[in-house]
Amino acid sequence: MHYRKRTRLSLLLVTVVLIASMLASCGAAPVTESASAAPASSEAASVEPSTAASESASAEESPTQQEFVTLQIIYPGDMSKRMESFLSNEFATKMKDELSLAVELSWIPWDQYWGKKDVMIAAGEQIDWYWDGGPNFSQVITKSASTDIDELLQKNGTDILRMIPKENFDPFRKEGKIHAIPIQAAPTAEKFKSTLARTDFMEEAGISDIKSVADLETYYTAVVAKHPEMKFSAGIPSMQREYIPFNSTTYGVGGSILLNEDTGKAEAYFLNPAYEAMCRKVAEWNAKGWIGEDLTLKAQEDLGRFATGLYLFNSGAISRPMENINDVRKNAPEATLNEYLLSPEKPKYKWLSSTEIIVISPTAKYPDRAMQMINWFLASKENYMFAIYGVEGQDYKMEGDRISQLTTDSLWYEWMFRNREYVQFPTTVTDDFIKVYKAWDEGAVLSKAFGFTFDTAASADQEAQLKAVLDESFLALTTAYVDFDKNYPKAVEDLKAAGMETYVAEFQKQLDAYLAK
Amino acid sequence: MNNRIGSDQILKFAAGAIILIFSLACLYPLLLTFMVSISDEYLVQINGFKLIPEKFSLDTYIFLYKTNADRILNAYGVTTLVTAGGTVLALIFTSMLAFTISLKTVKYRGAISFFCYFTVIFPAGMIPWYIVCVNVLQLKNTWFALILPYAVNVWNLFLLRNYFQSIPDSILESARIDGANDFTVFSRLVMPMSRTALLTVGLFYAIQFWNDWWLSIMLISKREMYPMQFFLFNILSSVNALSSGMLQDGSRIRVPTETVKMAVTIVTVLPILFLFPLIQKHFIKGIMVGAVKG
Repeated sequence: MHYRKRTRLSLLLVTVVLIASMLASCGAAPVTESASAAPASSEAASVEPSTAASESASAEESPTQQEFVTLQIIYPGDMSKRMESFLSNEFATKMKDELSLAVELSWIPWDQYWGKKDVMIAAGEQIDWYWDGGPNFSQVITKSASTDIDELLQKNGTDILRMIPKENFDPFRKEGKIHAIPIQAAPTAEKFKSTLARTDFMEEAGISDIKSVADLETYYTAVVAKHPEMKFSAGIPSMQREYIPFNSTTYGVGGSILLNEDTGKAEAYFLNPAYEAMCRKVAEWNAKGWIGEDLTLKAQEDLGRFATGLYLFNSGAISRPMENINDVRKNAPEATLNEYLLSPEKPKYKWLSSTEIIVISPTAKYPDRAMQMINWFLASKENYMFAIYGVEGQDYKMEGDRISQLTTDSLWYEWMFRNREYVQFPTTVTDDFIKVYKAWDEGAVLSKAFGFTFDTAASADQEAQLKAVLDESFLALTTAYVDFDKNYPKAVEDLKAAGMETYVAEFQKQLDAYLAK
Repeated sequence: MNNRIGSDQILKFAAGAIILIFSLACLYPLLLTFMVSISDEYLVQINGFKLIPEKFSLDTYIFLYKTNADRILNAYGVTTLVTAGGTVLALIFTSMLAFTISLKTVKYRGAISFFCYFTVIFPAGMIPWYIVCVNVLQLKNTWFALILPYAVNVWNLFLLRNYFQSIPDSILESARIDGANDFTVFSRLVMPMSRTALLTVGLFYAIQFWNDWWLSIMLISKREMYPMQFFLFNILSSVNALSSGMLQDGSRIRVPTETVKMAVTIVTVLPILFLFPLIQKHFIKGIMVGAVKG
């Protein structure tokens, strides 16, 4: 009897241990964007933001006299082989000698980056700094995934303040306090509203500029007569500047809020008649066979298509001629690229100061040291070149004032840290592009909503629903994959049901309150 | 009589034809995947997928192996180790728990079963799961991180429990009369008698461990511990990012964006594809396990 009791007890114990281990397996579902909607309150963080502790490393101490610490950083993408050796050798030595710190980089695949970042912060895991996209700043704020860095900037970020224009910080404030470093200081006026074009064919066709949709069509017709293999556009070129009858900028999920820069009134972009006109223009191109279903089915792969060298245009992002030229030249060795704005007579609006931000996490163990490290990148051109391009002679060589890279492996991402004072143009871009790039922001006007952060905490569900409708219905309409007349009314119905009007009203309310201040 | 033979032959022919068509339909995507993976990237970009490559090219496989050969070998090693170790451990854990809750003499077996079942219907959620794994169990960057969270799958647990319950009590009772304790009954009697069920569940676990990239995304940051699937997932993710402009650093490299997806699929499924015919016999038998009375 006693024996049976003991056996049962031991069986029960084994069971409990097994169940405890099994608990670890529950809830394992892929991280998606929606997972990031989980409350990421800093209150949940078990690692306390040890500002006080790390403040012991006083500002008076030189960086090398400070306690040796290890910073934890999360970084998107996959580590290249050269980066692996660079981080453990040259860069590690530099960090140790100059800042008395070591760096541990956790690389997270692009698809999972935001989901895992949110989970890690919510779980209170040590992350000293991380990257995010500038347009995601409102999400960062909504999820309490940042800290106020005003004091840190003053104490340890003097070179950041020197190298990044003061107004660039404005869009990244919460209640007046800076919460992110707008690390990329490059041209941003009308970002994503320009057109990337093959200029080698322009020269051949005797076309010197692109100012309108009609110019795009004329250019294509002239080229395709001589080169029938050439296709129109790898992605839908932005036509907003020409088709929207007033000066405007777009905000909100999927650019769904159209802000009239003249009146300060917001409206739903997809309900504006200009949207219909643009869709009909794309449908016209589709009917002529100029664009295909790839633009819908593989909407995100426009750069891959453009790299085949068979497309005249793509949507632009100001710096694409510099970023994509080598890729295109693999298939079209003579290719040259530049970017153009339609309706150039209209004002150019800056709606965002930086498309890339660096955030000191609320779970940072060494926030002051993290700031020192970020500051180091911008402290001198020597540091900037070393971090991004590596060792001269080994990883790159200079040809006059242009750079030629000797390795295909990337180190710290250039686009992330790009600074107009330090930017190094490659040997493959044209002088024309450099001229256009340097002058891009000249005469730019600040958008009415510049510096305003749309707090979407109250409309997070609505935003998710709107995104679903935009992905399911409006992408196919925008790319003319489906018939506009048949499908638009239902799409509008869905958009309204998802709360588009309330969403716009909330934006307007917050913007008005911001402007009133 | 002749008519009957004739109609039988027609039926056989029709059945054969339907099975053949169905098999070809199943084979087609795999074949297309393979053919695209050995096609020239440029022509795939221009003309789309073709069953017969317009131009044969191994560039994609060279791209995968040239820059990453040592990493791929290492990742294969990790995956093999995790699959083997994970499957054995998971089988031990699951079968022991299944045996416990299959015994009518265990007082709280119903409650324990319900507790297990409850976690399937109401999972704890991502953040609590992560906190348990990282902060409580300290699994981050350990080999257990790739095994322990999958060590007991509740569906497999009930599958085994049902099988164990189908073993006549008289057999277990006779062993106890001969002086065997519960562990001896379990290890010497129940396990050998449940070979088919264990092989089936083992196969489920092996496939789960082989295909997993999720645990490594969440719990592993050391490159030398990346399993194959995560490694390939990473490549694919970067390729997508490059192609969509999310990662704007593609100016210096040309990545075969279309064909690499296919090549990654082939590299991933090939080993399992070879393994499957060898254990197919047990697998088919094992599917019937679930049908055994509870």
